[in-house]
Amino acid sequence: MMTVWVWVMTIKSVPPISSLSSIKGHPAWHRVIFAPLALIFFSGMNLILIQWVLVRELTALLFGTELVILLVSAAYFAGISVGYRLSEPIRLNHLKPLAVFTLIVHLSLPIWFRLMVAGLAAVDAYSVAFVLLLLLTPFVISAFYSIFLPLLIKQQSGSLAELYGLELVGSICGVAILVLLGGLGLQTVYILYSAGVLAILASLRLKRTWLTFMTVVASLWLVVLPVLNTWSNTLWFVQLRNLPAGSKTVFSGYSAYQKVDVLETPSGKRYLYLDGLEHFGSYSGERLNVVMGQIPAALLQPQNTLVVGAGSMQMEALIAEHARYVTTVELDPMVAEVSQRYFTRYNHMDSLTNHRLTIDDAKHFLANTEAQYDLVATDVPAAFSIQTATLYSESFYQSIADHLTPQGVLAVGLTSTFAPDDLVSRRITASLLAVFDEVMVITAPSVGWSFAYASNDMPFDRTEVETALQARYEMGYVIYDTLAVQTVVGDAEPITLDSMDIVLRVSFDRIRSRFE
Amino acid sequence: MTELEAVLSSDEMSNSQLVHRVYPLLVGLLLGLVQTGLFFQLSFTYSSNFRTYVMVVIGWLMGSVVGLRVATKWPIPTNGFLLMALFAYAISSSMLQLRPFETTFGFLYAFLTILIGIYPGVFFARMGTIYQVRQLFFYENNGFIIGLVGATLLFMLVGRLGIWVSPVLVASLVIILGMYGNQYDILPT
Repeated sequence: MMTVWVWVMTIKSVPPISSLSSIKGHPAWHRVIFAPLALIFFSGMNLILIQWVLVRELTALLFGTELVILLVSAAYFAGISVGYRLSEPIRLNHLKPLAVFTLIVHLSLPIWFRLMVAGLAAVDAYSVAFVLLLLLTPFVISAFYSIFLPLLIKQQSGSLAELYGLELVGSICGVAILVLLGGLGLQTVYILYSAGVLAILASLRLKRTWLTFMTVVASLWLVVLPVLNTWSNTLWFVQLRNLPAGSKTVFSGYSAYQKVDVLETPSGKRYLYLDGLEHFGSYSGERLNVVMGQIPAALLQPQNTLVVGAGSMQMEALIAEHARYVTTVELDPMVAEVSQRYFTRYNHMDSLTNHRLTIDDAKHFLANTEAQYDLVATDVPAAFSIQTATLYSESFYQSIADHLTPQGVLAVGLTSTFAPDDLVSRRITASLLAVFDEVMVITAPSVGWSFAYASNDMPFDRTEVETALQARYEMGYVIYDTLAVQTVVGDAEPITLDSMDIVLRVSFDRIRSRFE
Repeated sequence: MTELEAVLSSDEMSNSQLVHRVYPLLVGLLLGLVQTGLFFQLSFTYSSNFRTYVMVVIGWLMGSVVGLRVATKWPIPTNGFLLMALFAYAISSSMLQLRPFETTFGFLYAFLTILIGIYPGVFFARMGTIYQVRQLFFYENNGFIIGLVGATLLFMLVGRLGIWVSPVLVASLVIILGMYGNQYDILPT
């Protein structure tokens, strides 16, 4: 920050860029810009790279729902508009300090975002973080890079077609970097990102000594980044997720789809978080795997079983005790890898011989396989986003039904307690009723929400389910048979690709609960 | 003062200034609706895989580069490219309805996305001669944000109908405005 201040104080006599308009070859201009094409190219590349980091980090910090993802994306693009606006009044001597500011702020983005949110949550002001981060994003994240395009075109450094075309090529390279190297982690992406900002600084004719200094500072920062990244991540989870002091981050990474975290408490218990939301770790989560996986598998003794969504893959291990083959279909390879590496205590993947993992979108997988299953169980996040909501839709359940054997069973979590006043569970159940002849809903106190077994020819009855529940220490449960289920569902509409309003409702309720 | 403003009388200015601002905003809105609509449809009826996201982004960007550097020189009015983009969007939507999750159609969707991306490239290349670049990008980007948010909300509230019909409606407005004073639906200069 000191260097920024020094620049601002020493070169403040340079005129605003607007006053140099249409003066190609103006001395002040050439004193400032060295390689306009490099400026444009690296702006395009870095816009994509920083979007990758921002969307995952901010979505996780604000507990990602569809509305959060939408607001974060809108804030990012609003920043681009801010940059276009700033390109007129900005002064030439502001560009270098702005670039340095951008390098510092962006390389430390995950750290200070987490510290800010954890700090605000500590004083019971999480809702302030929600507003503050979305307001800050346009100004400190994306605005800087969109200043250059209108600026350089105005200064006749090239035509719009040439320069904008080059910026788009830079963006294509940014996407290619993420595809090819994104899996290597944040540090790798940041090395290339830093190289981009340093190239921009060089293009802005930053003095060689300062450029060397900034390169050294950025390099040192990137060396210590993993340690600070882990430390701030743990701090955030302890503060926001009420993990006990002494917990540690075992793994934290950005996948192609989300932020994936594994945390371990001092007692050795491990938690899996997807976009900041707990996916596995609590007692109720383990019980859910028992009632949705182990119990139907024990009753069916299936030949072929499909589990949609990996999660901790504990469900697969519980099913594998009773099934001949278990297949998991998971969209996100990072989730599957993390599960296999850090949750073997729960899923025994190191010793299971009848389990197979397929990385694919479950909808696409089912549409392109001819396999038939005796049991299909789902282990997917709640309908916080459109993406996950499609896994509770009538069309998805139909594609599962098409791959069930005549007495095959689908086990589904209803994500809340099934009741006449609970719309989410009623709509999920309505989707099941639209496809299957028989739907049995069970509310198990140890799980904390309801789940359903659906089939066109249910191979077990209520008594057998009760016996199985009791054998696994499940007491105080409530079982609804198909008739009772139809009564509770009432006029609730199935979830379809044309009725995703449930996502908006769930997202809105989640955001509102943060403010309450 | 832009070239357009320089040749207009003061009476004509109020209308033309309004159109001048609304036109790129509407194009941005259209592009936001189409890009988000295309991404949703491909995600939910082709594959939610990361490759789908990459296909849409890279295809769109490549199409834009082609539009900026090559297609803008073709003697086709800007609205012609818009109609081509709409046609490609309609083909994609129809194929996804008729043959959902058909893996072999991946290259077809990539090609259609490139075709759609050509229109924004041509739009920017040609409008850069009429607008101050800063204003052009500012209005277009604001429209794009509205389109992004609008398409997502429409999809959640109305379903696929929303992301099929809204681009057609906005495109109709863009075409009509494009013909306003023969200023926007232009051939290469």
